[in-house]
Amino acid sequence: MKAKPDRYAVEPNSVYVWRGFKAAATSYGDFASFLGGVFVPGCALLQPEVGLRAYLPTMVPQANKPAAVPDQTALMFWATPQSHDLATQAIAVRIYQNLHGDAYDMVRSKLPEVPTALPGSGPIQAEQPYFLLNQKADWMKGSVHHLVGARRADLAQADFLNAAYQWASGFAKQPPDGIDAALLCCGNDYAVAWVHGPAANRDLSAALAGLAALTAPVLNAAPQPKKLPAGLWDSWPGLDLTKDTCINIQLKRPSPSVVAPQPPKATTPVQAFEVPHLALWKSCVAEVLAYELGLNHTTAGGIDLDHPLMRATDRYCRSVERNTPLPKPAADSTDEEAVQTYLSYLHHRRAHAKIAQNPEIEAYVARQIQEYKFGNPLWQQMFVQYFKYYWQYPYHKGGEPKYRSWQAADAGKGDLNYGVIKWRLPANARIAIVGDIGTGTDVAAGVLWAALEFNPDAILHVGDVYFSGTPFETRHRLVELVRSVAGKQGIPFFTVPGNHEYFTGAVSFLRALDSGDLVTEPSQQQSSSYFCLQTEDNGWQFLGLDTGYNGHYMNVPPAAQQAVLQRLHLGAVETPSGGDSHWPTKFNPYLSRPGDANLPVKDPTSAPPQVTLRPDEVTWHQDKLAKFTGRSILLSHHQLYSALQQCGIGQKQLPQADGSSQPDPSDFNRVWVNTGLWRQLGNAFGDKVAAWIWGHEHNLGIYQDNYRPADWPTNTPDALQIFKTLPKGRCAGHSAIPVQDVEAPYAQKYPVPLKSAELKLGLTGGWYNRGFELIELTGAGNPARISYFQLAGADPTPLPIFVEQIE
Amino acid sequence: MTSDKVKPVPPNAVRVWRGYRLPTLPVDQFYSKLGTVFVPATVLMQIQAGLYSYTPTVPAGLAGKPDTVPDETAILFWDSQETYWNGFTKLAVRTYTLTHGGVYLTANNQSRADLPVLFSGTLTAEQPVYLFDKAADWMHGTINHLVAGRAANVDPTAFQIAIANALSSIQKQVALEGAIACIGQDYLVYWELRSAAPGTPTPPTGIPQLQAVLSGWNQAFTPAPTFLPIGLWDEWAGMDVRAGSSFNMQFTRWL
Repeated sequence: MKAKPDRYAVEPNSVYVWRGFKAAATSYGDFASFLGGVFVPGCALLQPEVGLRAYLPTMVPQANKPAAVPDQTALMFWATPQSHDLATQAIAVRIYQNLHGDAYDMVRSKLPEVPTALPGSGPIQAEQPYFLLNQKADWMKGSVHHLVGARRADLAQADFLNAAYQWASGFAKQPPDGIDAALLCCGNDYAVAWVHGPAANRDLSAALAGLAALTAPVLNAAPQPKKLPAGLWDSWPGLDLTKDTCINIQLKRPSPSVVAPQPPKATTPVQAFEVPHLALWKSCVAEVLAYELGLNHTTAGGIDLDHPLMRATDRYCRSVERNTPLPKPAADSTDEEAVQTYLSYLHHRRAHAKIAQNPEIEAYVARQIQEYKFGNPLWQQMFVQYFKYYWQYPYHKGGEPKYRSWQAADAGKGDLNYGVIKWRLPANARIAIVGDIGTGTDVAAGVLWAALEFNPDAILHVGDVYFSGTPFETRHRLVELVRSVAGKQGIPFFTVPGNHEYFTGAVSFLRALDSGDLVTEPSQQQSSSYFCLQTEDNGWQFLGLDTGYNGHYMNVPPAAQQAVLQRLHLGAVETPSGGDSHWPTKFNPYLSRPGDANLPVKDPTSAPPQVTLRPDEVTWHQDKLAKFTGRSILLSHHQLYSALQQCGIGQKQLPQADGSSQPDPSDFNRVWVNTGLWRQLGNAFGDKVAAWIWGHEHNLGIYQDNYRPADWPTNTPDALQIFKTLPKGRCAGHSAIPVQDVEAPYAQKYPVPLKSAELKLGLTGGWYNRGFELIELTGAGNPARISYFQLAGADPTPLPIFVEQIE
Repeated sequence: MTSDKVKPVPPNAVRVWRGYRLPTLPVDQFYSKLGTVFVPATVLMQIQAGLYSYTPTVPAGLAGKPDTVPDETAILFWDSQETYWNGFTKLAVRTYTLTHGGVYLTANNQSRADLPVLFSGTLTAEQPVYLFDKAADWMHGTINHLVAGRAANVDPTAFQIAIANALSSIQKQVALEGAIACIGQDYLVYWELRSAAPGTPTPPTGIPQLQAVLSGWNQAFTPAPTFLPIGLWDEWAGMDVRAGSSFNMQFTRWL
């Protein structure tokens, strides 16, 4: 077994060395009362959560103490040298810092507090604290000795400071046995020093004897470990510092990762484009960059979001997606950003010219590319990669995306048990839920790591591997991610596809399942894009739904798809012949032309009105719901309803006599509700289905229990038999994709309220925290418990948000 | 144990705060202190000490506000006066209380909070009163708040009598869930609680009756229900407080 490192040890300059002088108008009794009643316990209780690691306050005896010697000393150790300042981001610390007791003479007490290394030559500088040993130590544990002394009367100030330097220098060169840390500060008229040793209950006074000899000691004592008997909200008067004069407060220190605030990392948004051509172009840019930068062996697959070519591609794709102008820079432009953006466009367009077998446009675009001085040979590789990928996938050959139907001869052969995971979850299983995790970011790995702290029996993912589920992306951002995190601990990973996997036809997604790399034993093998995972006691089952098959164009109306292609192939700009169609329609799998015999069998630009399951898959899930005696939880990528996104179709309008129209009260359709999915599975809601967890939106949505539109019909046959009430619908697509506060993910565009208004992800540095869920089962017939966790920025500590039961 | 349920508390279980900014603290720093420390700390440090509702308002910086009118007002309800007093046995409350000195003018008791008495037709300077002797839950429902200054041409006694008469009228004629008032030599602060079920007519307000007897600066506020998104130890820049901010803080009570 490996020895655990001392997780609370801190750097020697990660401490504030306080020397306080009592205000002249304050009596010593009031001073001690203020410090003991509020200040000292307040420090000890308000600050450990945000980085205080050790706190050793001392009341200096007043008897025979010269006025120049401090009335109080304290050491406050922080997790990092920056933690003290960063801690002010928390209200608790701001409260502590705003304590205004008028007890200190702040003019005299306002002294340098952060120690530095001992200089190479003496004397030491008055009032500057020094650390004598440059190594980490945990001052709350082990033994400490503290000296407070007045300058010896026979030593002049300069001699005193010189002699103190000599002592300190010798100490640093040859530390006494059993000492791992030491701090020293001298004023012109006093010295304070502390030594620390890792072993408990040791008398370390001898280590300070040399310094003590330079002073008339006022205090020479070992701070006594002192545990506070009460918390912030307990009734107690505080500490009696006239009795507990020299203490080492035993703080309640949370996990080190919690108590070590780090400067916020600059986060670059992951721009995910829902238009398949743009997503694939971005995939190619990222892949080529990963190889170029030597990041192709990393788990993340090296998405370098800040690379100039990636930023250029984002700008280009945004302009296309939003149909905004993309200005053509002058050939001699010095605006490199603008040129790279335009080059991204030109190379993407050139690839499509090649796909269209139009050498004229290809040559024309190539000539434009040559004009710019900021060209980059990587664009050429990206162009080649795009061309290669483009033809590898079924859509682009006019085929269907990959799907393994239980009915198909090459898959389930009519066996309804096809797709059922043979392996069973334990009756008291813990299951981690993550969503939209296939990003390759360190946040994704952090979320998985955090989830594993709870030792789950399985991880379930509600889909999406960015940007378009290419082999490279699937290998790195899904398989390697899971293998490196969950695989080592033997935890199986089950997943449904999102829309992004289907941008490349789910080919790589199914290969990843087939590789066996997502699971740890053959019985766990997931054979299809939908699955059924049950507990050993038949108390619970999880049904994974493949909404990606019909959902890959969900947010992109056919007209927008056409606009993208027209811009790539038919636009008036930059075409040598002034805007004529250069797209040979016989090669164009997207532009429907009557009479074209080569039209694809499936027109992927005709998005279904709302995402639904394939009918054969509905039959399969209904079979599982009907036969299972326990409770079921559904998992899908796409939403059943949303407060923010349109995922349904509008309510039918009835024409009125005056020419106006009124909503049809009998119609269940609402633009924020997927009535297609509800119609497919709603008959089992409540009786069989206890909850449905989905992703797609990169947010956590703990919606109101039993949500259904308030004006839905209630007593019609459909209402009673099909549109039954789902007890819990939850959005859990917040495991990796960064979301900024300005994106307003909690804007309630549609009337789907949260269960409670405050149940939202927190913000760290302007970015919404990412997170996961943990479902804990307690056997058949018992409610399950679902806990929602978030991670603050890059800190992998799971922070609880809310816990509720699923019944 | 916590609860979000509506629970009325006695009308005298409230501290009525009238705060004056330290003259050495610029008004923008005053707003900053309120938003980053005081308003959230009032809630977060005192929920577990029994705070029941908290409604702060910031007249500081409003055009024309006389210096004699408080820069910040607040009502802080507890489930009883005893709960309030017991709070000082807790470190959190002691700590929170000691943060005021660096922000408010506390010399000569100028910034102060007091418990109210039942209004009986007359007013005493700096003694808050409540108008309706019935329990109410001030975190829920609609609060209207009026802050006013005495006009220079009105003598303090006439100001006091005119306000008392208006309050008597409100007490007799206006059906409110609760009302609290306090005058000083030069100011009036008044809060009323109205409650209406959705779809029912808007309940009456007593504010016009008070405004009718005021000839000096006055400003009405409707405190906005406001949640704190974070806890004591979370990273958070704080609330946006500015001239005229008025909040009815929403939180889960500790029972």
